[in-house]
Amino acid sequence: MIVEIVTKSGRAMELHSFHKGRISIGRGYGNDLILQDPFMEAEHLDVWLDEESGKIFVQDKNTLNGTHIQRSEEYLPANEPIELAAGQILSLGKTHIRLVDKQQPLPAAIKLSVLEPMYTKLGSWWLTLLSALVLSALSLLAAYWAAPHSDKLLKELVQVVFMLASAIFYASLWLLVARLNNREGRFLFNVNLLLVLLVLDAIVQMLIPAYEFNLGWLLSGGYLMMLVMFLLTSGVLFISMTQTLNSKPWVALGFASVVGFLFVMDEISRSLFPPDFESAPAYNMTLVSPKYQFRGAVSEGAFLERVNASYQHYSSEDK
Amino acid sequence: MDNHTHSYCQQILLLWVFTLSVLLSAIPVQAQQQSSGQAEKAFAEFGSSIYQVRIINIKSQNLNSSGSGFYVGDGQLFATNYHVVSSVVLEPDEYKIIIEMGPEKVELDVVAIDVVNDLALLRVPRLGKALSLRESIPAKGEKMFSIGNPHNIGMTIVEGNYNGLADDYVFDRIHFSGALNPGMSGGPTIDAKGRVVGVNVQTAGNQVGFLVPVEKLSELLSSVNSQKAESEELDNLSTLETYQKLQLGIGNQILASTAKLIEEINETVWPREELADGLVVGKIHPGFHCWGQSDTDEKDKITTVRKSCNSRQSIYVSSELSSGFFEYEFQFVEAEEWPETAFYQYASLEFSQGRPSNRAGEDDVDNFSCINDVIERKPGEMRRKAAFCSRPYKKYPGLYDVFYMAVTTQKNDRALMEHFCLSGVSKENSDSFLQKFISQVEWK
Repeated sequence: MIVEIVTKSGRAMELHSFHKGRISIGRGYGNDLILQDPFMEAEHLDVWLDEESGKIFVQDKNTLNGTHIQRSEEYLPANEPIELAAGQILSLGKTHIRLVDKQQPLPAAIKLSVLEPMYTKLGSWWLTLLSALVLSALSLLAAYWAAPHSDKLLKELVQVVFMLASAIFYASLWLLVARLNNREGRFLFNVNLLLVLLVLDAIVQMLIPAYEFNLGWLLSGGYLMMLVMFLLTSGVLFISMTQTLNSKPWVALGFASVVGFLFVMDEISRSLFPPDFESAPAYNMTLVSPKYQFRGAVSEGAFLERVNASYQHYSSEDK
Repeated sequence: MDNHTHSYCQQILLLWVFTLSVLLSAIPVQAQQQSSGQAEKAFAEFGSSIYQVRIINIKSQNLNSSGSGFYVGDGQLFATNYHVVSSVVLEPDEYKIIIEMGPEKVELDVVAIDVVNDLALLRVPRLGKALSLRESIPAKGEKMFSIGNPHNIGMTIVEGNYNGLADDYVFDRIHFSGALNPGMSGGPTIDAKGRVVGVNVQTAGNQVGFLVPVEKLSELLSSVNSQKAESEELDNLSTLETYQKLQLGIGNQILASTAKLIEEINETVWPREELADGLVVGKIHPGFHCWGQSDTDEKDKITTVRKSCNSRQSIYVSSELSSGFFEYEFQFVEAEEWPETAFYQYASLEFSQGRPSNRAGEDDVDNFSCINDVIERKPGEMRRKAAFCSRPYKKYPGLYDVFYMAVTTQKNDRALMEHFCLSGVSKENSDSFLQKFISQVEWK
């Protein structure tokens, strides 16, 4: 006989296993299962398994608050054996329990993700070191490109310290949540995950001008960056959640996309609701070095034709 | 692109008092030369033809701004600057024009405007003594008297000298060396015999004043007279209809003046000038002025050479809209010892700050719409990233502000930028200007 102390929604918090076929539950010290719920009687409930039929019976011992069968209006009648359906939750005072037979079949084991070997590697310290180094190199390169002759390039490393701190903060949050759920914290795994995100972000930032110049006419770099930001943040949150809390994929997906959306919400609302009037022209003058130019050119004549077709008419009905 | 080229234009103040509160903080009054006696005579004789023009806000019944004006023509017409009465022309429901004749307040209506030359003719219900207009051109240095009501402190006469037409102005202006001040706008400058030589319009400070030549006023007067002769229906138009007609005319006047300017520009062969490693366009119209600037940053190892030209004058339409201003600019940037990626990142930032060169708000213009492309003159030659933007005027159909910029993208450590901004142009004129402009710049 197994008694699960569960939450109201049925999630198991504690498990008590008994070898006896008949047990008593209550606040009193003479019970087989002692529960410290002040709304419960000293002698509250008897539970037994009928060996022949394999059915579970319960009997309320004429208690003050009664024993409630969850999801029904009914209370157990006092001093009368009642057969219990499988999986039913009983409320004794403010405690919820579920009675399970040892023979009851369990759901099949969940298959580990095919990415599991990769996730295991993600938790290694050398990856932390490597990504910290790559991040420093990328920050220095970005600073060098912004001002090649500056003698204060090393100042940019402060940025990297900030990034490391935020990765540690991020992993600590997951550690905390995991520990509260009695799970492994996977601290280094989450640190590395965020560092990899920052490395990817830095790389994308560097590639954006070349993208903008060559393919910007397809989807502007700003929108692409927004999309990439959303996918990266949501992806990282999804992996962290499924790996650290073993959450169901759709729960993790929901959480990750909502938080990911919060990161880009500001920019989305700005592009959806632009200011009514801008005095400056919103032209694009993103330039890249000749070796990254893969885009063909049009003749001056063809450009003039495009210009000629670009004039807008103003009509007050538009607004 | 940047503002330094406009600084000159900003120094020129329209001689118009915005509000009374502005008055008190305005330019300090300058000591006037002692008059030789002629000024006293002129003022005594012709002062009665000149009045302060008061723009009254109808709802608050208070003075909004003021200028000066004088009787012309048949004694029923009154001349002043367009910019003095612009708020009445554009918002006749909100403002009205008043002159005070002794204790009596007389309300005036605008009958004709010339926004390009900043002139307006008003009709006065009370007959007055008209000033005559001088037909002969005065000699340089001839003594003149400018009359008006500066800073709302009372009718004032200022002595100065005629200095001929200011050199190379797109729209003709007489240079008058006398102290014109805000509030004297629209007042006459007369010779010793009381004949009008010009209409006070602008000051550049320090005894440098500008007048609209009197011929422009005669032209406007004769257009009013011929209109009158042509049809009597003008008189039958309600005041509001007249103002609507005047408003529509503003767009056409701007269009006509920019069309003429572009025609003159496109007729000439544009001079080529060197700008560091590039060949760019020099002065394309006598009325344009060009400025050069260069900057070498020893530490960052970056050299910038810049040349910009503009038409100096713009057409005042309202306190929120100026138009008819042309500007073009070239910039050479060289960054030796820079990695290419860094150089192009710098250039992207440097050339992304483009702004329109004229003042215009949401009520007058729509947003710019732009196209971007990579262009080449011949395959592999003069490869540039180019952008063209235009915005239509909301009240004047067919008018646009246009913006063009292109930057070369072939060299590893140097780039040449070409740019122009035209305001108040038609699509056809803008296209013909761009067509010529786009084929000019070259590497040496």
